[in-house]
Amino acid sequence: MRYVAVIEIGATAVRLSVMEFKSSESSRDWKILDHAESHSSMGQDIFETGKISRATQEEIIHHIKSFLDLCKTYAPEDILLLGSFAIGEAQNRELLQDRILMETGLEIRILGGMETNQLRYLALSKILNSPEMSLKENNSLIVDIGSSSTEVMYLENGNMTWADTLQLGVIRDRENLAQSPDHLGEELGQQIGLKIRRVLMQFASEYNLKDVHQIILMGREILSLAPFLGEKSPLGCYCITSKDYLDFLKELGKYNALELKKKYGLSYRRSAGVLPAMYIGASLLDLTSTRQLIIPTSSALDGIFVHYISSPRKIKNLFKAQIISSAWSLGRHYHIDENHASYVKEKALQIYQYICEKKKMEMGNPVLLETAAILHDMGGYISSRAHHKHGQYLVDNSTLFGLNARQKAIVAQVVRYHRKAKPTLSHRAYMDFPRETRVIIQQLAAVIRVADSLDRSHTQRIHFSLSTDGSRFIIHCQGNVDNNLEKSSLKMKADLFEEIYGLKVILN
Amino acid sequence: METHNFINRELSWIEFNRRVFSEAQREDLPLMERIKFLAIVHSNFDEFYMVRIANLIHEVEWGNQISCPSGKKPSEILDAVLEKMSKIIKKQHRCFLEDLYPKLKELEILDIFPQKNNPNPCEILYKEEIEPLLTPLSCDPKIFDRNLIKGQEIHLLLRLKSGQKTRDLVIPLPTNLPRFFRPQDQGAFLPLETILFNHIALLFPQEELQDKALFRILRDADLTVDEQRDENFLKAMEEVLENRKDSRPMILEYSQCSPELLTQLQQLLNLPKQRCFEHSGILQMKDFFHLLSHPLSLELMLPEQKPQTSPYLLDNKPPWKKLLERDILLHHPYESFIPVVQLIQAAAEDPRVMAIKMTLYRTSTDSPVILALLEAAKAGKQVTVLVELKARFDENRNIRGAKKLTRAGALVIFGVAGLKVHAKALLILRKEKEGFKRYLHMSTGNYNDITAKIYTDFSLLTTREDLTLEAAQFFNALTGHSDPPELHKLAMAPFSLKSQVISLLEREISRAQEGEEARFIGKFNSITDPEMVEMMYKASQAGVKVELNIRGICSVIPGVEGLSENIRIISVIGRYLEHSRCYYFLNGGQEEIYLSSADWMPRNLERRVELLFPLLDPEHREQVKHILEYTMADNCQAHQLKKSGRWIRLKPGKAGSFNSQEYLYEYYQNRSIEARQEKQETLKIRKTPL
Repeated sequence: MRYVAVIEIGATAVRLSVMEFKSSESSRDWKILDHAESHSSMGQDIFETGKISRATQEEIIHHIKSFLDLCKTYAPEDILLLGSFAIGEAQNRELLQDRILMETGLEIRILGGMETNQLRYLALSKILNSPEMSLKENNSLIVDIGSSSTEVMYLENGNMTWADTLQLGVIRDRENLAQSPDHLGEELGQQIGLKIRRVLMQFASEYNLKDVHQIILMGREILSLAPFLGEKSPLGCYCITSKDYLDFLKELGKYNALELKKKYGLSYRRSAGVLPAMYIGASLLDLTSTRQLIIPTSSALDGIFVHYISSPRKIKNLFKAQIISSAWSLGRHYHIDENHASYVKEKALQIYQYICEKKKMEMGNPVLLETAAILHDMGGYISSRAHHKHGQYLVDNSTLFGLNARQKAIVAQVVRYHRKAKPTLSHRAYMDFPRETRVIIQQLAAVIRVADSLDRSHTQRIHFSLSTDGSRFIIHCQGNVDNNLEKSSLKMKADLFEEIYGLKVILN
Repeated sequence: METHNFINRELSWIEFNRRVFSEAQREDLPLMERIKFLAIVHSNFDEFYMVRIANLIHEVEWGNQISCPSGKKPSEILDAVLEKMSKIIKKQHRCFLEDLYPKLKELEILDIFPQKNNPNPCEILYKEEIEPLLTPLSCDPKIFDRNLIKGQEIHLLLRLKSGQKTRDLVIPLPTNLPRFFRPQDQGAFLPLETILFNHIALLFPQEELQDKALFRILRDADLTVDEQRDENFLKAMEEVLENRKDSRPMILEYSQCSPELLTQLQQLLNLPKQRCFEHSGILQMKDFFHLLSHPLSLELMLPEQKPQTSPYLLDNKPPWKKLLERDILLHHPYESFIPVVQLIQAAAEDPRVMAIKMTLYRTSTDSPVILALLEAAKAGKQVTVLVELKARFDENRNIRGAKKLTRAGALVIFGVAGLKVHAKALLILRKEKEGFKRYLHMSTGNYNDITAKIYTDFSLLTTREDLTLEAAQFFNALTGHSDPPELHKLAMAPFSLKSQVISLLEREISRAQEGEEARFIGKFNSITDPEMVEMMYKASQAGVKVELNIRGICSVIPGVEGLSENIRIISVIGRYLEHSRCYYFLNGGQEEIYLSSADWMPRNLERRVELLFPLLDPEHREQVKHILEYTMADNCQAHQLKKSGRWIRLKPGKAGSFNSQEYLYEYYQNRSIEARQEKQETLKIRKTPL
């Protein structure tokens, strides 16, 4: 039995969850052993002033100390202190981090949007893989409405294709409203509706949402109303028709926040947020062909616990397919040559596997290699001239589900160095990485440069086997094909491979 | 809501005491049972004077604004209440003097007018034991301090004459002596004040005893603590209790008092005549509880009914094993409260138990619960106890308990600012092989082993994770580690309890409106919350069959056409005090039953921390549903409220008599006997292992 405590500093509250993990050969399971939640004004401070006030900092520290006291009984082996997306927006976040470290000895790990997406995906893995939910046969949108932002992930037939962050949140939108406890819900709805529509119209212009059949709607405010919307399924989620959702929202519109609090037994904080959350959900329904909504009882945080009980291999495999799917989706968005990308991915992997085996290296980053291979020509969408640099920029500024910020930056660098200049000491972005990462970038970029050269004609006609002979890395072409074009390309692009792996590349 | 659809709470409370008093008037009841009911009424009146009457007087003084949904002004209510009380008190004393006292005298249980014999054992008693403890206080207006007259204690007023001069003295009855004496441990009990009254002249041999009277006063106890005093709330509470000692006199009760002395008393205490009640029989009838210790008393009471052991607790397995097998519902006092105490004791001793958290509202003197908690704290377990210091009239006991627990190392939380913690919950955290396990006890009644023998209450013992996790969150909120949680199985006042009950009632109303059968049975001590009263009318109007079993105050008017014709209200006053709070909803056949610590009064729903918990085991639901139906069917101990606002005693009809409390006792007794017999059929063989 293992015990882990997670303290999460969110925009509106600091929360503690103590988990008990059963992990044996026969079963892996976890359960919440304890939970506590205390209000914090952090989100409000940040949205109003851009900073976390001194009083709020002290309030947060007080809550953390109180939680540490509470979880003493369980003697957890790990205490994780997580900072939500909102902290990242605070200008003085480092001050808070320092204060917390000094007062509690805990270091905050601020979760980025992508990392949270991964956790969210893990938290939902049971529902996503359940045949009853038929998510594999449908296109679904996972929407998590938070205090400061709304995270959206799109699953095409169960595969993650893209993810995005919307500047919509229950506090962010509540704060923009004329706050009055007497304000009826529908009046608030009209005001919020305008802003929500404005953000969502831009969102809808970038993505085709008409193919969305189901929405998985997450967020504390929505969840607090879920029991009033339908019955909980054995999978631990509420399934609701769009009509029931909209009818319920209409009913909510008749009440002000105080009445909602009373009628649905909500805390005041929650009652003030339910209408913005419900309206965000309704506006998304409007943009899609959704007939069914799923409200899961899990939150992104639960992903951490799934992570704890799952084997690293299982997690890796679970994400690999989703990362590749997401990369293809991004590539298609920028009109890549899919056949060429597919060839480069396959051949790069073949070369990388071979060289790792020969060099007795651990094949540590195949998914990054595959992702970079798929996206290496993506910059051509802007211009074929310097498309490696455009590609780097696009990867840096796109969302790739399943990759954390560091991994995405590696992919962007590999795309950057798949042609033309090799990394040099004068390349600042490259030099910002630590030495180990720079080595990885060089290794992967070198392999892609070779694989890309082998399809110089974009006809995928070169198939080969590999061998080494002393200091030579020999690519044996299969069949009788003219490979002069590829040979000349290799001459220009195999340089990095020769430098990093110490083998001269020969195409026979 | 229209004002005439609401019965004022104070007037309804008087009616409740009239019902209790009617038990004392029942000739078919054993003598000492009747005496016990007189004592209960007096005890109830004491609290009523000190809190409700005091509150009404404050309201009158603060502007006499209407605050009661009945539409009556505080002064109107006060006048009506005092008038009704005066009538009941007269009847009470007539009942005592004309009916009960002659019997007590004849049986040599009580003698309030003893004859002087020679040698007079009372005189010896007076001289040796009473006189040395007497402290006469002068009534000279120049030095008289009315704060020296203690509330709820009997005093003697004397007028002494020496030559042409007269002087008045007040002598408090020594409180460190028993109220009733049996000289030489023989014969009838004699009241202390009678002995004093008859011999007081001996204290003033130089003066002539011109006049004498007995009296007691009730002081204002409607004092509030400064909720801002977070830094030392214990001290703040102690100050309130100290202030209560010399707060304003509210009521005077007198006996054997001449008009002259009465005038003197009224002047000294500054009390209007309306608030001075003559107790012609005996003062402070609540002390009759002491008479129950007379050797003859046992024979003059209903036969003792020993609490039964639940069939699920008959074996000697440790509670941890039993509770993992199933949830256990105990119905006190038919079933013993001891298993709850034993659970705490087991937790104190068990090395696997890591933490114990519980609420304490009212508990007994030398409470075994507190003793077990002390043991646990001394054993190094994490003991967290929320002691409600504001539990009225139990403040001193709770302060003492809190101090003891703090000294033993327990974390004692002195309530929640602005709210009284009335919820009853106990949570034990035990580290087992399979991980942490929680054992939860929730109840409708207090952790008081003494009242658990008299009050009807339910105890639920469970290890269900959906309930125990929410209970843990409830405690996190009470101990300041968390904001009030959003609960799904439990509901907590003042946050979600009321809204949840309203939504359950609304569901019942919707079903009725759709033509379905709909039914609600509510059993609680009081219903005065205007919104809940209104919900009862709404339910009735929609066609929901509403059955209410209200022991005490009821502001709902049943049986009014177009308003409440589907509401039936009864009140059961029996040998046990009906105390459990249960809410039953038919819910289209998917019956739901909830138990709670909360009555439907504004104070419970809005100013107290209360818990509502569901019965999730179908067997428990079935059991409680039947209990609710049985109590509604009572025609021996029940009164029914009529639309006129009068309570009418129910009488057995053609189908025969049905006493729900007697029936339930027999039911639990038989259940226990059957379970024991069943157990005996299984032989437990002890043999040498092969």
